[in-house]
Amino acid sequence: MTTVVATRRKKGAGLRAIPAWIYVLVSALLVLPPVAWVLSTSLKVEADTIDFPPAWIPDPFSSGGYAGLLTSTNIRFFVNSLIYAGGSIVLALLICIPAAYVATRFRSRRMETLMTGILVLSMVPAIVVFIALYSMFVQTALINTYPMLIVVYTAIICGQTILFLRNFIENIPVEIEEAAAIDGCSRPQILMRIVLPLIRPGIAAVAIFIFVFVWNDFLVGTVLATTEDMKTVQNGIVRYISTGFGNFWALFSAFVVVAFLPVLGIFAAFQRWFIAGLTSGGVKG
Amino acid sequence: MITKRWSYATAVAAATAVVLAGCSASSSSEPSASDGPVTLTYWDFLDPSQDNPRSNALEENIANFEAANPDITIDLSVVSLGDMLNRLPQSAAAGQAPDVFKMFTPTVPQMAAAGAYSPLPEAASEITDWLRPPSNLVGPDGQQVAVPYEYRTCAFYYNQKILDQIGAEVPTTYEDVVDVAGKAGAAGFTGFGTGFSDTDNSAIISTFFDCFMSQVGEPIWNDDGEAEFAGTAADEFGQILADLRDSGGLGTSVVSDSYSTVTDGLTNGTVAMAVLGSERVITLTGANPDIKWGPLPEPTSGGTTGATLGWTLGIGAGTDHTDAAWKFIEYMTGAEAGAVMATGGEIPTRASTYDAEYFSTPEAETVKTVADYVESNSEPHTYSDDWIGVASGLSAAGQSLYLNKTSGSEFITAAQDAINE
Amino acid sequence: MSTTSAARALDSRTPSSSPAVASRRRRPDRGVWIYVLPVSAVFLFVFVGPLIYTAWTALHETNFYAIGEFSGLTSFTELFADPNLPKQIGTTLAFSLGALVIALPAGLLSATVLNSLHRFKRTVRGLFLLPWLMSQATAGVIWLWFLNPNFGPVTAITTSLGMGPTDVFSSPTSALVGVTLITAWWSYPQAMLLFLGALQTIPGELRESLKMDGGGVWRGFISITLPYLRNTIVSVVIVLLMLYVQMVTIILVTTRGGPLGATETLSMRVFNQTFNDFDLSGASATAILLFAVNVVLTLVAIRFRRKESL
Repeated sequence: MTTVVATRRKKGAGLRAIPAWIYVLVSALLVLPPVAWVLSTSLKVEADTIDFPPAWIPDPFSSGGYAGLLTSTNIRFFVNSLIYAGGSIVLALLICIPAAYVATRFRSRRMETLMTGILVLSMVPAIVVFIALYSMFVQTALINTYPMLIVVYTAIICGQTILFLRNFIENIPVEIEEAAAIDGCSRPQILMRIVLPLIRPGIAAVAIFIFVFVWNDFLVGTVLATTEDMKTVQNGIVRYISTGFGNFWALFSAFVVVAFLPVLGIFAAFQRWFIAGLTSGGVKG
Repeated sequence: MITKRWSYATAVAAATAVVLAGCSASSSSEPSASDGPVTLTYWDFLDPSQDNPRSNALEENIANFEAANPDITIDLSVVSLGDMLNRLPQSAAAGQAPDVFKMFTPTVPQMAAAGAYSPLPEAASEITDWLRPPSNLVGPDGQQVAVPYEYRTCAFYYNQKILDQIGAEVPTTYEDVVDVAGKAGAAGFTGFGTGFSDTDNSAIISTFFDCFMSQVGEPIWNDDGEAEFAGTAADEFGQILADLRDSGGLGTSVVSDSYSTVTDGLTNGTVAMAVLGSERVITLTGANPDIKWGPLPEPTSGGTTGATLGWTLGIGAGTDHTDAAWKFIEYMTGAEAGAVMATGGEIPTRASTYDAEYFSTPEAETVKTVADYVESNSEPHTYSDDWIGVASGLSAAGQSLYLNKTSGSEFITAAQDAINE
Repeated sequence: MSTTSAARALDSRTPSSSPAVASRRRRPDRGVWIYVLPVSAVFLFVFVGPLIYTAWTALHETNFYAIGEFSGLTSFTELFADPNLPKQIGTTLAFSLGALVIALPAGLLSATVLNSLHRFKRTVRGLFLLPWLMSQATAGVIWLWFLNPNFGPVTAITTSLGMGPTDVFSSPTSALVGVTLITAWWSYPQAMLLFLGALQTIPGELRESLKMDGGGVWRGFISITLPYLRNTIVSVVIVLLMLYVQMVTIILVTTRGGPLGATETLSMRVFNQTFNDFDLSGASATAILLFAVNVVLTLVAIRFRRKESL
């Protein structure tokens, strides 16, 4: 009896899944072709990239696009993005963890107002503040420097980071902290020795999130980095198609692929944290 | 206990130190004003780390210069032309202009008006063997601010195979071009390759216009610096574009086409004819043997003489190293560097350069041909201080011409209005 | 520097020997502010300062990036007298609502499908998320290359079908449709993630009754899932609308606002006014307008959030 029910259910589920799989198929047809095309272009010799009609399978295969990426300018793009991302992760955690902690544990009307203010400000259109920052600092030595861009990235990501960390801190039983306080721990000690270890998964998720955000950002680098040697990976991608000097489609495609690899790698490696971070952080944000 | 208590403070201090260290690290790269070894900051759009003849030649020249002048180091920043146009005025205002930078001829007066240049030193006037007079590379006060580094003008490119296929002669007038382009269009090609995209500073349409105005001998601006060309021989430019459109001679993607897409089209044999800079002669004829080139087609009144264009070198505003900067510029435009850059396909600007041994070798044949072409078929003309406005006005008017089917004279009026806005 | 001394000051005020609980009750509340000081400083620097500067700039004449004479509300009157403004507002609306109308259902459907799958869940999730894992710049440029009218595979297909080359970015309407679709393509996974989070909170009994209900998936979806997600839908709408109203990158790398200004949204206008026209005063006025739109959206979001927590 039970087996019959089980099989019937299974069968029904299988049939019911058909529309779902059709949907998945349609999505694949909308998502994959441009990606496949870039992948294919990246493996062609430069002259073949502008053949018409186009060939999907490169003939001959060439790794020239990838080899050609190894220029000091390109490497600089990657190094810059790493510095921006790393710096933003450190700075954002450094300033957001204490803020998230007191915002969760020492609620007052004023604190809520401040947190709402921070949240509202993080929703200001980025282009508005970038342009003002650009014109404010273009005449100073601050523009086009690592600290400047790191602070800007941090500010943009801070609102969400605090929200997300608050969710984590809320889940820590207050009793633990109170016990620690009775043992004579000061507030910074409680934060360092009790809260921090407990929210480690949250910190990891936030770090991943910030990395992907900074790595994928185009606009900050476009506006606030003013020489090629301070620009980011995303600026590097667009550079290939906007300079107007000859065709570099194979190089361009290879660059796109290589620039995507770190994000893809992180996603594959930390998929669970990644998704958890995005879903929970996002709903509140 | 106490050490633990301080850990938070230490962390903050460490972070602050990191940020401060970042600050000082980046500011220490600023050139110092002291004597002895100097570092010149130099902005170029070419990326010497790329592996192509032009980039290699630049890299070689800089290395040779540094070897010959051990007390001068060249710190090259790769900055695209678009970024340079945006950033030079601001950098200059902030006292952060590069010591030396490359700039495209028509935008030199604009950058000079924005205060990006230092005047050239006296020594500059001692060089007199420029193939073409550099009289248009001046600031608002009429003083020369830059010297030509490389020459080009417009050339007419055509695909012999396509012309043969549609049974057409090589056109010699714009009227013929319209005719042949229509036929090529009917045969499934892009008859005449041009583009109204503004993504690359409207390079292709503005270069074409620049040369056409030289051909008909009309100035673009009046004495007050206002654009004023509507109702003159310039109207023919609009008319040619409108006729090309009506004959089906323009590509369907002309609105989003740019300098590089037209070049790509010529390379892979989908574009029958185009007017592009002579700097493409070597790459285009090398990539596709069907591509031939020659002088510009004639307008109804005027000749085949286009505008002398090219990249220039100048000294940035507020530099502390004028002498070293000039030394570098002199070297880069001199005979030794000229012979090297010619191997990269660029056309040196000084007559004395052509005495070098390289130019008697067979490899130098094309470069010499193009150099002769530039000398005989181009004339420098003056620019006002808003070439960017001209370029974007032209592409906007071109988009309107194609999409809204405006007439040729409306194109010219719209362009002029957009420039003066 | 100041942060260091602040932390030091905090510590000196914390006598470790005093009875902790009692002191905690009394002192919370000056010390607490030290913890939010760095965040506040960063926000003052990156958001508050620039916003004030923007307002200041809008009230002055500008020449390149130098601020000149006080000009009152001139740049605002110029902004509202600009015949292009209604068109750009229309473009912004068409772009935002267009992308929303696609991304919202696509996100919801993807989340529902993903939630119902038992096999290959991770693979399908990766597939659905792929566009969003790319940067906006990448999404824009790979479509640009894919749709290239001269060498792109789409052109090859349409040409072989006798329809001629596909030329998305060369006519105003198709360019707007193109950037809208690319934006929707890039952003729907974000909606999906938000829905996915919410779907996982649907109580078990509801799910059970959904399964038991022989009336079919569709009815279950309409009568149970949808009402349950009502709040999430509202917040997804707001999140997406904000994203679209602020969108610069995808438009910048594909059309730059052209052809004929057909894809110039308010955000693009701010960008172009600053970097093409060097009209900083005008750009600031537009920026203030854009900011106002955003404030309205934010207020709705906050209001809604309060409701949700009630």
